[in-house]
Amino acid sequence: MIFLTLLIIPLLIAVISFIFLKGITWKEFLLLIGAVVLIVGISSAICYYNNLYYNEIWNGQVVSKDKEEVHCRHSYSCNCRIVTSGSGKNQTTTTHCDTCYEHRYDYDYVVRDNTGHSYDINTVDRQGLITPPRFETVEIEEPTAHVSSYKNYLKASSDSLFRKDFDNEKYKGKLPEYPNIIYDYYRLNRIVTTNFTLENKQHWDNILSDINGKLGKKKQANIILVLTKNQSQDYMQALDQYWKGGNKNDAIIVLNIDTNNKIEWVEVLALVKDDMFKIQLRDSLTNIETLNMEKIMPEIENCVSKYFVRKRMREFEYLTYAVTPSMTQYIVSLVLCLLVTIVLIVFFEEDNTFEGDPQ
Amino acid sequence: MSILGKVALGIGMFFIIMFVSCGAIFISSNNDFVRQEASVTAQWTQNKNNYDNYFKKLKEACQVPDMYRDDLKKVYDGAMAGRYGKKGSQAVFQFIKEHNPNFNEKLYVQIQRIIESGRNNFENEQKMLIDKKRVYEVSLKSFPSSIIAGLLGFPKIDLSKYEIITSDVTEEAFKTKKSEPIKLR
Repeated sequence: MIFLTLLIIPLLIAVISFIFLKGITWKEFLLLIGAVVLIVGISSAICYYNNLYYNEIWNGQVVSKDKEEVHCRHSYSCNCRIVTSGSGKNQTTTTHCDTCYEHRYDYDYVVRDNTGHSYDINTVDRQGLITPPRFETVEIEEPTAHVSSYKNYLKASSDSLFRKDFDNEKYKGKLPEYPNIIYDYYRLNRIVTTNFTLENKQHWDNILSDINGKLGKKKQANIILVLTKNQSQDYMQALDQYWKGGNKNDAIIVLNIDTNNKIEWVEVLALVKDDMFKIQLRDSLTNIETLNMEKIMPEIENCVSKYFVRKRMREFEYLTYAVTPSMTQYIVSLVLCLLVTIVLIVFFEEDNTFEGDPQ
Repeated sequence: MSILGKVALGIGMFFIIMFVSCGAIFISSNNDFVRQEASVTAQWTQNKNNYDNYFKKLKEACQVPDMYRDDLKKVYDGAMAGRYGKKGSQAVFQFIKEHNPNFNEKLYVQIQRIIESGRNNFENEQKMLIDKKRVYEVSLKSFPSSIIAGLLGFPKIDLSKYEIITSDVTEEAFKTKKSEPIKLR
């Protein structure tokens, strides 16, 4: 429908210009119409898909590390010569060059994980003859994480009952950002703390990454642990809204402790087929009673492994009909389509390529 | 080309493109409406399936002998419909306790989890039914798809038949516009 609403005005302008301007031939008019339809089609598609696609984290484990011989990437122009073609008035001279390469081959250092994703480790010399130290430290079965794009109908549909928008004065500016910053090729920290400093945070992160790596392919899950201190339970709802419900494969565990490091409450946010996962995990973590990594992490691994079955985004496909561009997107698209139409009209009016054709 | 020729070509092209676009939109709108109606009816069936599954899970977990199955179903339906007031879940527990000599704390916790997750799952399914109806109704009523829906004779199903299940207590509260505070003890 957006296609039709965007099309009418540029199309009318094109028709009126053709009728009243003298410089546009019928061939140019047909080209203009074709271009308008194409531009409007592209704008509609951008509007639609821009709202629909989001990024999630895929977790896996390293399955191979290879030094691969590849074609040299360092080309330069060589053997340049002047070539003359034609004769008399039509004689032209051009410079022709060959493409030469610095090396007979280069080396790539490629790490692959069990999700099918590969990571290129930067070389330390131009050709890649020296094995990069980072490549040497790569271990088989170590956890990996990468960003993958997917359709999220829930976030795209502005009026859905499942959509979560942040509108909470109490927690404004006090909530942590969603952890999605990949560093060192495939590493990601997913422990988020609020109101306190966690001792050995990096160690907690490493353990959680290991669990994510182990369960990544099997359960298609991305486990995030949010640790808070002395927060009331409405923190969880605010965070859920702030992170817009998270991504489709997220299992977000919010664990709150009191001043004595006793677990006060646990909540689990996840888009799962059966809520039993959330309840089992919540109850088993609450029963641990204190902030004890040795007990918490195995329990998380056990519950995710046993109960986590993510809901397929396909089940929300009905929201496709509710994905509409925002007024800003609509106006920007319309203005762009109009601008392109006007530029093309001016171009065809001035251009004489089809000179001689009936106007 | 004469001015008349230009007018004819211009207007002709305009109508050809609009006709082709409208034709494509009519066909895709018809298919969308059909899909949305099928989705609402399928969700309705899914809700029934979910309701039934929830009972089966509960029955399996509480290990009540088969001969009491129908009685348990009555208590369960009653609790779901709010027939026993705010203590509906307790009525279910009381029934299980009376008909299962092995009833213990572990079983109590497990049944509690099944009831909680079952209710949450059922609520999500109901929410999805409401959402699907909402999306379809917006398509039917918003311009210009409302014109296409009217011309094609949509809706072809009676949407009022696909309502969610609510408890007697909720119905009463909405009817009287009065709700008593929850008493913990």
